[in-house]
Amino acid sequence: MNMMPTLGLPFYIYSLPILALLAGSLLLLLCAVSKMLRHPAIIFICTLAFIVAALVSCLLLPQPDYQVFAGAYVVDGIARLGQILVLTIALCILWFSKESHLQAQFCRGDVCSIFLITLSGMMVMVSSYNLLTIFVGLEIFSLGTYALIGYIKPTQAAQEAAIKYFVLGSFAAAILLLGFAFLYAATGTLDLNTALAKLPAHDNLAAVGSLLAVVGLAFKLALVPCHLWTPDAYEGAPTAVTAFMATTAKAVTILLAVRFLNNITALNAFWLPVLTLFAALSMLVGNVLALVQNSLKRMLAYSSIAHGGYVAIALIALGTHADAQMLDSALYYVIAYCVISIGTFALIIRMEDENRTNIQLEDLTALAETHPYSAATLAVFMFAFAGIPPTLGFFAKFFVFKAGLTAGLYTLVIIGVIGSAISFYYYLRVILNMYFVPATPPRAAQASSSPPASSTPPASPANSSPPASSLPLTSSIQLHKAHATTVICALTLIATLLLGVLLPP
Amino acid sequence: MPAFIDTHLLTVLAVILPAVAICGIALLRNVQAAKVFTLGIALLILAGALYLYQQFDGTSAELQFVEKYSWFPAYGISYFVAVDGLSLLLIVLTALLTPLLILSLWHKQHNLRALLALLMFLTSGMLGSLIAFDLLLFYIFWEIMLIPMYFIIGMWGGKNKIYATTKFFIYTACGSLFMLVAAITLYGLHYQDSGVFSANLLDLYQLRESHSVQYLLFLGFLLAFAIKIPLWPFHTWLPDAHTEAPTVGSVVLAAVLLKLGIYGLMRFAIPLFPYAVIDFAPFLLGCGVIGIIYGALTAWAQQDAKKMIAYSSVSHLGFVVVGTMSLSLSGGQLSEIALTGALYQMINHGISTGALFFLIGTIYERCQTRLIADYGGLASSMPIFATMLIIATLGSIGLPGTGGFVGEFYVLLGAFTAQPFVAVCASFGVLLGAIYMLSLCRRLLFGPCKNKNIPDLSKLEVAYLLPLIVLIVLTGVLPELFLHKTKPSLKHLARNFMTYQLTSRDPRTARPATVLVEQNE
Repeated sequence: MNMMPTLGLPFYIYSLPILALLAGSLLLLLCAVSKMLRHPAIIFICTLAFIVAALVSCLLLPQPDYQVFAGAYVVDGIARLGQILVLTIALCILWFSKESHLQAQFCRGDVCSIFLITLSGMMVMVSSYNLLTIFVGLEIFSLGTYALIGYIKPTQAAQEAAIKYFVLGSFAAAILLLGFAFLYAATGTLDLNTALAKLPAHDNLAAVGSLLAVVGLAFKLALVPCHLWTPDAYEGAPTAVTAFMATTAKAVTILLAVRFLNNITALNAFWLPVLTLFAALSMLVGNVLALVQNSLKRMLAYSSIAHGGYVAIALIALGTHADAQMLDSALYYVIAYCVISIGTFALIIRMEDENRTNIQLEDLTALAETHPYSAATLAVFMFAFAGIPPTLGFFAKFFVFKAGLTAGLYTLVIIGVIGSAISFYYYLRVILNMYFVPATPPRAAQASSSPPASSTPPASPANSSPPASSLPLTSSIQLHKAHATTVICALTLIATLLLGVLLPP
Repeated sequence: MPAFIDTHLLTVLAVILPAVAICGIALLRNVQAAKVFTLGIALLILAGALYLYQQFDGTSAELQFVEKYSWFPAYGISYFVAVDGLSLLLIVLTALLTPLLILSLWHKQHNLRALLALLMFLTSGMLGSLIAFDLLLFYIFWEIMLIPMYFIIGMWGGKNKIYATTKFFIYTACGSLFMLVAAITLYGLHYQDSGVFSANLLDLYQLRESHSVQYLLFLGFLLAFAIKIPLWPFHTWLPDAHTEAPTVGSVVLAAVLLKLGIYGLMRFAIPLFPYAVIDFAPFLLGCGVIGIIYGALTAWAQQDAKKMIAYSSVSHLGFVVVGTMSLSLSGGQLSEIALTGALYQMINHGISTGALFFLIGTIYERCQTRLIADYGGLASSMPIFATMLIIATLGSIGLPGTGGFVGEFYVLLGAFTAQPFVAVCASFGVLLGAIYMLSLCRRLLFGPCKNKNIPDLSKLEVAYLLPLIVLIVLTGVLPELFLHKTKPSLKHLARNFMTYQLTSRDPRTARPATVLVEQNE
């Protein structure tokens, strides 16, 4: 438990998941330069094997919690949850990206290597009490994400997204680092655990440090007003990467925030109002801007901003009244959000092809008739996002609101409720496009050449194709090929429907 | 076995049978088989509801058929269902309506299996919210109802369906969200008060908060219920939803869904926030009266038959609100009478308006128009239709001999003792109701015959309309038959409420005179 002068066997055992990922990434780089091993199937299996290995070792980690170097690397409840969550989601994403139209681009040694390194960064980030380690983990994962956005398929939109995210992200990282530096200056330690004990309640240096750090985290969480990168990054990135950003990146940031904010409650007076403001703005701005989006991914980006706001309610509640139920509500929300998002993105990936990389809401027209099961699944996910019982999304929202109200955050919860009310409209728009809007083939085919300029225009359907049947989804999506998305959708669907009813946080 | 039935009947009715029906519909690819199967299940639900009614002990105000399991023990949330006199008749009405709705769909609609599944889903939600005694459970059932209704209007509705269904969903869901916040707050207050988490309604009844807190919480609940009822300023979704919905949707909406708002007021708002109810009653009575008059006048001006009946619903539910709220202003015996009238009026409105929507649905199917001006002289071409329409109309107006008269009489009697002015205004509503409903009848049935060659009601149509028509008369002739089992519960509700009115206005000293005893096996 105490300072360990040398790295013993326990360290290697406890860090096995991360070591496995790093070893995997090196091996994949080697594969990438070898002509023989460059085959996508080999790369895919190799990546899969290492993620599975990491996941298995994660699940098999011995029970007692562990820390080394005075908390520079810890394995505790949050770390375990974070690691398992990240690896499970990564597995899903790897699996369904193999079925996306970007399969060849994704199953490359270098890309998969970056993917594994990114994962290891995330895992390091959630498994530390040391500000420096946290920052290093965060930077590894951020850089990896920038690369994944722009590198897999360097279209103009993807590159723009990557650059935008990179510039703003670096700026935010700098702010976060500055915050950490201030905290270090105020307390003389980088260890969050002991920093808490030493934190002077009315220290300006520490106060500024906590503020800067919260702003840095808010950027990663995409809280308004630090959200500007989100829509472009979500829309421009390949959908598999969008799914990755929307789920894992968000989840680890929240876990980090839980750990970090929980330890600087002495400075509540400084950062709570700021975070409250951010949460309120996120719920309002995110939901309002989502109303006017036509691109499904862009809409989900704004909705993720709003969901960031809901989680922030739980974080704020945790900051005011630390108690186990509030922690649970935050973690539960994260898990619920990840499950629903993964399912949704799996469906989106299934609908995409080379010509249709950016699904517009109109593209969903009459989906219910051509693909009833996909439509029904997407409808359930939309209800879950909106928080309609008995889906998982409702229970997540219920417990977050409960945490907020127990902590006395009435205004914030009311704003959350108003935000939810607004959000019904855009989630319902997806459903009503799928179910209620009748298919109007000729008009839609002509109109499809003039979507907003920023998005990649969907290719106009060939004149020879029969208009009615081919319109909503092109037939290039073959069901036999899409077993992974089917399985993932089915699993997330079941989880969405039953998890909330059966399992409290 | 009887013991098992008694303790699990409600779950079987509200959850298991509808779930079985939905699974069956999913598995049965043959539409005919799915129809027969769903009808069978619906009849089973009806039989169960009748058994429930028959077994219900009408001399006691206690909860019966209680079923309770801990659900999220750490949060004090339980699966707690029961029935008392307040919900008994509504449960039977809901169960009665389901097979009729399925019969009305027998020969039509594309995508029939989906529609049947949604109907069963809706039935589950409606029954569930009538039997839930746990706040979270109630909320879940309450919200679940929106999903099938949203799809029913959206997929099978008229021209303007997308607008109507989105408006319906957002309106009601927004109201519910505020109820959710109020409910969670209430639940948190109970925790502060007693140190135990509990969402159990009986525990929450014990809670007495200060006036200001009650006001806020009451407003949260009221918003949800007022939108659902719909009370006057919140009614605008109703005409759209009613008009655009397919016949089944309109019937369910009118017959049961709207009643749940009133039921919510009686079950939640009045016992939970008595002081707020006392203080807000004049305001609500005002809204109710405005609703009665405004609804009636607007209905009068409608050219569209469905819209006219939709506005008449606004007017009739105004009556029910007046009856419910008279409780708070009147004293003694009569308060109970107003409440009884409100409950009875809910049932009557469900039956007669349900029948009216069914009837309009039958002629809409024949002529594909809802405009009253397109019809005329139907009495000569469709005599059976004409007879039924007239009976349903008379029931809706409240002619002596129909249930509507009994309900209106009770409500007006209660209202008169509470606030004569309100009663006088409300009586104008009765008058206006007679004017517009009879004018609807006249324009449809008499005058020059515009629709000579349309066939009269088929046997199937008669089959699903006849039960409602018989009930309209039966409720008027033998009100005691229906009301006697509800009286103890209503008396209990009224008496508990009176104690708050009479005791000192200090909320902390007041406690319910008698507390509902849980009857748990």
